[in-house]
Amino acid sequence: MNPKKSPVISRRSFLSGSAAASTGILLRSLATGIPPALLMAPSKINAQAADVLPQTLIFSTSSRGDPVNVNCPGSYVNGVTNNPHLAVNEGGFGEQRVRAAAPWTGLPRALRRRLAFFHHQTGAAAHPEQDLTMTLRGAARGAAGNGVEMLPSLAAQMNAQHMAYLQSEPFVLSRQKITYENQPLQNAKPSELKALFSGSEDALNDLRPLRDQTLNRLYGHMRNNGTQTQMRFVERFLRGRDQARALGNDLAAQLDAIQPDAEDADGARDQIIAAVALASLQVTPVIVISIPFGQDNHQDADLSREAEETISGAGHIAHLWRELRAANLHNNVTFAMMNVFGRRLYRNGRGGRDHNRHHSVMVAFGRQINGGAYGGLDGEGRCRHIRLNNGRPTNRGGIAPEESLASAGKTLLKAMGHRNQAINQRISAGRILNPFVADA
Amino acid sequence: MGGLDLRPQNWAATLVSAPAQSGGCRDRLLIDPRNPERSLMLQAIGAVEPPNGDDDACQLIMPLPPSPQISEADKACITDWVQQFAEAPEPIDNGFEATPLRASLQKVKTLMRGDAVTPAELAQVRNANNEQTAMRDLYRSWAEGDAFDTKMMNFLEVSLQQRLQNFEAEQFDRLRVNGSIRTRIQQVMEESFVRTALHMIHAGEPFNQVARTQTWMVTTANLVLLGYGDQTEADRNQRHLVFTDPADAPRRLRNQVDRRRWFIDRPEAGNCDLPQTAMINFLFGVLRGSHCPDREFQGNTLRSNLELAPINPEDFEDWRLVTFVYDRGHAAEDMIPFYDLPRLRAAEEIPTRLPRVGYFTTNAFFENWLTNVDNQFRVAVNQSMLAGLQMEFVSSEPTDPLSTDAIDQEHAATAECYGCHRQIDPMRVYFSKSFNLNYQRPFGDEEDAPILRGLRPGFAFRGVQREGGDLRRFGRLIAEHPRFAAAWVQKLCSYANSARCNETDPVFQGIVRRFRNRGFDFKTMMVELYASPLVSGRAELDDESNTARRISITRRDHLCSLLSERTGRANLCAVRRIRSIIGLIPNDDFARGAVEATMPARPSPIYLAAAESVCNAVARTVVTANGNRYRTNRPGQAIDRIVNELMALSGEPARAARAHDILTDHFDQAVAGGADRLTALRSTFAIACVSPDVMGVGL
Repeated sequence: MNPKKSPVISRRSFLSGSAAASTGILLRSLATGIPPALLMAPSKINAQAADVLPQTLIFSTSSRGDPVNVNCPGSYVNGVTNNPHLAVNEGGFGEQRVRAAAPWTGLPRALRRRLAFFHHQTGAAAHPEQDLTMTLRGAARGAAGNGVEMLPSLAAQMNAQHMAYLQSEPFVLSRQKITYENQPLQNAKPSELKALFSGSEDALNDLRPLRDQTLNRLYGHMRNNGTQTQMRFVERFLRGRDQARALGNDLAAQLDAIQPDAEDADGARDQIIAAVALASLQVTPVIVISIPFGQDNHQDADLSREAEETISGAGHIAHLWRELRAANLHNNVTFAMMNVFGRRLYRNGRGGRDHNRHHSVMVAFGRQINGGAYGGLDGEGRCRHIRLNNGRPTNRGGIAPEESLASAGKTLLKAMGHRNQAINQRISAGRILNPFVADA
Repeated sequence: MGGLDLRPQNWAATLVSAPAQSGGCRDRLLIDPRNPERSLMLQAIGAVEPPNGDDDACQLIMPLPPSPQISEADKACITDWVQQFAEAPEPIDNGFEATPLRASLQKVKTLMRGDAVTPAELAQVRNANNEQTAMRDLYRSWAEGDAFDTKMMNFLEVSLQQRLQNFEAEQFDRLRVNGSIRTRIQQVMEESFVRTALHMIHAGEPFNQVARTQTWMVTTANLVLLGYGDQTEADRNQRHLVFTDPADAPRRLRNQVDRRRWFIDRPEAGNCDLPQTAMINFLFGVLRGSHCPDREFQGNTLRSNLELAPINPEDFEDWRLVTFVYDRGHAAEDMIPFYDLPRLRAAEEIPTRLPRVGYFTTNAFFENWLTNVDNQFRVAVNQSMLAGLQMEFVSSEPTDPLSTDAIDQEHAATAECYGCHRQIDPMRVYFSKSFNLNYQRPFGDEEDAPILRGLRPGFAFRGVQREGGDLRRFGRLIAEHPRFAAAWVQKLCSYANSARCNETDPVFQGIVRRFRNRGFDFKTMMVELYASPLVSGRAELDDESNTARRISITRRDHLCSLLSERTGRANLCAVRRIRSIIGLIPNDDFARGAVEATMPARPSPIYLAAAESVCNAVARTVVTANGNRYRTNRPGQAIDRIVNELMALSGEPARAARAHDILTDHFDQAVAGGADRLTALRSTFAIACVSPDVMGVGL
């Protein structure tokens, strides 16, 4: 051990880059309505200005393995058992005319133009394999090139290289476990988020500005005269508080529609409201939610729950679309849904559906997505190969079922605006399906 | 060399000083500019040996055999290239600053207890001839009492992976309990082995016995849960009758158990006929409509509280040590059925045909790491290693199993897969010898039957090779593994710093050596570690650049302990208005396959917003009109307590005086602005509560 040494970095130079700036950022944010994250890192925006900005991602996932793959466009083929309660129509998705359950074909036309279904297989057959599916069965690599990363976290890391956000990790609004650099992220319920930022009208909250002033006075000395570690922590602490204030002003209003006492409190509806609010304030590159589509339906003897939740699930997607349009975010946000596995295209002895390792579907919409069904399944409910030139299912060549999961992940990143080279560096298997991506 | 061009795009710059990510190698740099011969890149290509030879935690080799190896000429070329790059390293000046003594002591007291360092404690260390010795004496005195136990239990619950991540309850064939009974069941499941380990720590027993002990701290409820899985097929097929007319069942519980004729005071249930597999639900107060003919229950389920259920509230609180006596051939008459509450309540020894040995055979561990026909206990094996030895399987690790018979060739088709499966697959047989895929005693011929029959278990991991035995052998091998001591020093060091400690540091290695040589005395190791520069930050380490002593945010468990200790209000986080928002403060956690525990350390806007809400709620709870601790008619005295106790500044008189003045100003301004005195004092409390001194560990 060496004797103690004195600091070598001047406090003045340390402070010049951080402390004085935070109050200004807050005021500018409030005055302009521009998210504080943007004001804090304009260089990131400039660096990407000449190119397409990556899309914020709202990502729905569930380890329950909902039967979303059973009744969607591309799943109506001979020999399989779709839901008997749902009417079947032909509807327009992008440039395609496809048969699907009525809840899908009844979605708004503008949404269907950019609503796509990427048929794939996850290879998973058990709920705990959700982690494996999220890492694209190990193909999604860590930022340093080794280790694995979950797809939403990988997307967040790639976005954060080009855009400024308050935090670079995904924000998880559902109960689903998502890891970032192999560490589980905190889950936050929409109602908790609302409670956090809504603020009550009581006298204690009225004194908040005075408390902020007092806290600045309390730490003014340490901010300038502490050890480097102390200064760094206090600075980050006070800046984070300012960011929270800026965030709270806008979030509170946007979360107003959340009703904590509603029957489906913190369900998909609330998660969507919160997700759009977080996206509008550029809090995070990726927001994780969960939209039920029939859930773990082994016991769904008459498939009535599957029918009900296909209707409500498609309704939630329509709700998300409307919310994004209302916030003028529909050209900046991409949505994708990918679950641990799909369900079998035939029924079990109890009438429900068991896990299907051979077929699932990624549902996605976004400005850079060509609507339609990509790939498909055979009469036994197994994923087929996908032609690279037009995305149609085929029996050989193109994207094989074994690489379809990684291909779905790669293609989603491409549709979010990332470059092929960067995508291929992070995902070690699969191929980008260009017909899926608008202007690819 | 081999067509590889090392020059373009400043590639080398991305490797120099870049920390490795591979298992066991996280303290190494890809190119180490200070010690080029320690560069992981050179080890990986076979140009140099691991620094500590076969004992080194990092055994990375690339490419994996049997792929063609790098030629000697290429090794020499890459070595020259690394050396060339490292020849002119800039001297790195980390600007080391010693952590102030009060901050160092307060950090440890927050970790160990939660309350504030007193001036006397500070003086005890400050005036000592030997600071580290004085710290150790002080820390040993802190390692007692309820506050310490609470903190240790939080640490152990995460480190031993006993905190429930799932509650599917497949090992009980689905528990249909809910509400407070479910909460109690989860709590005793989580706490049982944690209390076992805590007992070892206080008794000074060798801590490595956590991997092999068959003497556990349990309640009667635990014994019911642990015993349920230990049933033969014949046991499962037994029937039990439940009556709601007392005349139909024996009066005494002893006789009810013996005759399997039970009474419950719920007339609406009628008479019920239960398979034994439904009895665990019945014991906890749940009857299914399908077992009670001609009765319809709302939701097909009739639930009773613990006043009416056979199990009573005391059965969740009668903690004591019980020894499990394992013999897979125990005769039926030697066993105590899981429903025999009178005998379970009195038992000191429990015959078991399922091995209950160590942290990896608890209900909580099994609940967290569900397996299936594809996984075949591999998850349990991997998590056992992560919890006990804090190290994962790595395909390049050279320890081969003594036999390859148990390797699943389908899964191990490629070299990369084979590398891990050759070690994991023989180990899964330790579990499959005793348990089915629901972690029960195997039965029948179908999905509940034993799997991997005829295979011999084997242990091959980081230099240790053995074959045969059962889970007791598996536990003993973990307990005696050379890695055990370093793993637990690392766990505790990471807990203290919210970041890994450098295992190659001589200070770290010395603590590990003494932990092992002194019989794994955990408490002694803990006070030595906390007093060392690794945690104290009071002296510079040999390689300071690779040791992160962070000031961390105060995570949930720390915050709850701290607030309770410093406000004098026990279980503060259980108060409804605080409980409803405390979930937004992140907590320590663990994840499947992750070597390190999750310990968020940075203050994000969401964290700070949550902290403010929590502090406002705490202020409303502890600062009241009639309270004695913070009296509105004596604001000066109340602010004294806020500064000295809550902010823990009593050891720094100058800062404390300044803080007192500023907080008094705040109180006065609030009152002058029209706030009543109670609101003004709550606001003053809330500032202190949300301040970095409370919301940061190590400031």
